[in-house]
Amino acid sequence: MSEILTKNASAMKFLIDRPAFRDALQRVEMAVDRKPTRPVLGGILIRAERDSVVVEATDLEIAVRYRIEAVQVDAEGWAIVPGRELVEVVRDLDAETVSAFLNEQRQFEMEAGEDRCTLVTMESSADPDPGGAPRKKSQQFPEIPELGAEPDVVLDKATFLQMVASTRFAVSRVHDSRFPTEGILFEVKDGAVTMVGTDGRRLACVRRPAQGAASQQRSVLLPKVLDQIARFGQEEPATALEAFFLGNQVGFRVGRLESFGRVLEGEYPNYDSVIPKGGKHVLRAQREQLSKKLRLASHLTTDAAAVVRLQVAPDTMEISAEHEGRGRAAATLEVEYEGPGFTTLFNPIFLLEGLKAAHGEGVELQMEDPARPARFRLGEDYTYVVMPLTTFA
Amino acid sequence: MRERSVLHVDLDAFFVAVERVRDPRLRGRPVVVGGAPEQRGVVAAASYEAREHGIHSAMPMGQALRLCPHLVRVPGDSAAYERASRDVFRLLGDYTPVVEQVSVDEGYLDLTGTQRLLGRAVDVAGRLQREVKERLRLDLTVGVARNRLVSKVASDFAKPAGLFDVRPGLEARFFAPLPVRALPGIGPVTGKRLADLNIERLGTLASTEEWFLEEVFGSYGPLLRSRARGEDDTPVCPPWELPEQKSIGHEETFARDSADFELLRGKLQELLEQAARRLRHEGLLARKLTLKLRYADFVSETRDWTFPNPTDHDMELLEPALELLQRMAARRTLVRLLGVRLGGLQRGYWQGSLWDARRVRERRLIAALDRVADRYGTEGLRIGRLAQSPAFPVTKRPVSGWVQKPTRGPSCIPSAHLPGPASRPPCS
Repeated sequence: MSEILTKNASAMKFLIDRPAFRDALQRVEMAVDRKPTRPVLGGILIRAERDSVVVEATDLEIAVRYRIEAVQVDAEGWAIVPGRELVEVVRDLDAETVSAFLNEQRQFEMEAGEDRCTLVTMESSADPDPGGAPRKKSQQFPEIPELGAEPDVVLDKATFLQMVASTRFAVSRVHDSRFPTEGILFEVKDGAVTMVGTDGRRLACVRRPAQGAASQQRSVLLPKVLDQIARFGQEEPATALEAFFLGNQVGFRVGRLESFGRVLEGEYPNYDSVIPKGGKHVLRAQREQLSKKLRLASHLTTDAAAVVRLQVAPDTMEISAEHEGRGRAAATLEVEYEGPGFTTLFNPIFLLEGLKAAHGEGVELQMEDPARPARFRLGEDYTYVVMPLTTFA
Repeated sequence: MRERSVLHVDLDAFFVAVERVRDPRLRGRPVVVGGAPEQRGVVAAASYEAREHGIHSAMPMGQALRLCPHLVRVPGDSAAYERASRDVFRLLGDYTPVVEQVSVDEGYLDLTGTQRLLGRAVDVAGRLQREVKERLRLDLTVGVARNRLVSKVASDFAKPAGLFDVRPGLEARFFAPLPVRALPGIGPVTGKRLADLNIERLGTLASTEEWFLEEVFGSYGPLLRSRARGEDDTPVCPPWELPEQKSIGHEETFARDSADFELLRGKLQELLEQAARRLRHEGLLARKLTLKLRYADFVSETRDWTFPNPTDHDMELLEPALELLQRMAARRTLVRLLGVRLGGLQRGYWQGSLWDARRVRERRLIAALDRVADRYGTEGLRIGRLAQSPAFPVTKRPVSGWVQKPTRGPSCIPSAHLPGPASRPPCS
């Protein structure tokens, strides 16, 4: 490595498979800051190493690193180039391979067939250090941790993605001064991984056994990193997901994709204490059926007054809604229920979102009292708690 | 276009009338409803007998008592008036769903198209009057016309306990001899300007050249002229078509200026409870709370609070209100007036937070307190802290059957008002 470096005066040069380059850049694009407070955060770091090219980007909320092996590196080196432009240009270059290098003006130049494109660099290995030696490492780009060989926990990728989908929708969209609920709780404890999403009015909690989950770890993550993995981890051929707790970050690795999420500060609410432990009303329903009837009734609700009335009697439930000045709807479905009749009010959107994420065909509702939190079992070790609505009118 | 038929209904001397139903001894005597003169009270309503002495609403009570020394003053009971008002409007709603209540004692009914079903509008008006009189023992004045404006002027003209029907086509003739001030919308300022132009009767206004009025009043001029002719096409809006209410507020000028935080806190809680109760009656939730203080030097200050989730919950409203008060009271000046306003109103349902199970329990309590207040008035039962505040000299007898313990700290256990000094906990 040092041999090439000295010989070529750190002028990076490589030949790369264009689709592979394009896909790699797409994966890091989510981490490119759209309104960067510092210019480098709007850039992508390209690093040519002995036999691979690595691209990195970060907006300080998330960081993504991707390794491309379909390359031939002629000279090692690195450069930070404008992110959005790089992604778009590589997407539209019209050739199977791209030849890329740092030119005499220390610009990043790409040649692909008949086309040529030059991007300015924000910083590169061709920039001399004070002593005149080539710069080994960026002075501006935030350092993204290296992931070692020993993850804190390993999960089946499909399981992890299902867990994200099971909790993501319940995460708060607004900042809460008391709890970091704009994040998803990611907890490793007693040989299992737990994820929780809540906005204080509903809470989704899912738990799965995992390898290497002997240690106890707990972090609250902004959902962005999980969205990134949900979108691109899927495309990686690897079937395992490795997670690393790194203090103020959590790193995830799926195949050649490495994503890092910033950890939110503050104490996550004690989710276990708000999950009702029992309830005198226990009801089972078919998920499809229930969703269908809820959707029907929800057409006659407004955003400001999103409410459906669930009227439960033995073996039957009526779901009704009324839109002042527009009309009303009532839908009845069969349920498994024995016990006294009761009526409760819910935000239909909360219920529909939960049902959409449910794992099985059947769901169970447990309720102690129509005004107290309702507990839905949406699958094995998958709990959804929803606060009902109340009115004095 | 179909001929419209609009009724304006107005309950005569409404507060007084309700008091007279409750206490028939008040009949035939000059009666006013309002606060005591030593507490800077004003006349909220005056009976016709009192009006003969020159007493009118909004007059300081002290002045009213000077005008008529044998005047009978009754403290107001808004809950009772609201109940009576609800009863009246429920009865009116049996005739047509298109009822617009504009205030506690006044409203419009649109009877357009009901003739075959109910008969002529003027006959319906007579039936309404009789029914309100027989069933609720209240006097109703009704104006009948083909639009809102004329029906309103007609009922003003027919008061008290009258019925006046302005036949279609005769609006201008009915209006012509009336003074311009009889037209809703013409207040002292416009009245004065019209008088300066030598326009004193609606007939004169109606026949004044449009360009001339436009010169004087701008775009309002032509509108003024067409209204003076009895033209109006404003619809009667039933509640579901009315634009949403913008805010609910209560304020109070103290009998004596005060900087006693405990007193201010008690008053704030009382005002807030009143506002919140109204909010709940309307089935509304508030997104914004505004606190207003006017100091003894007449400097006024307001502060806002916005709730992340809209609420109609007493305790959720009270917490930030107290915080605002604490910050504002830092001025250490005597306070003359305290007001609260709930804004950002929307129809909807309350949703509690998973982290505050207490709030859900408190709701039951609030519902129970509302029921008590609806039946016995707000004096009957209050949230504990409030009962101990010097804002509430303990004077009322408890609602029978209530046993309660003294409350400590930020509690919300209801306590009845028991006789005894204000500083003592309600029960020991």
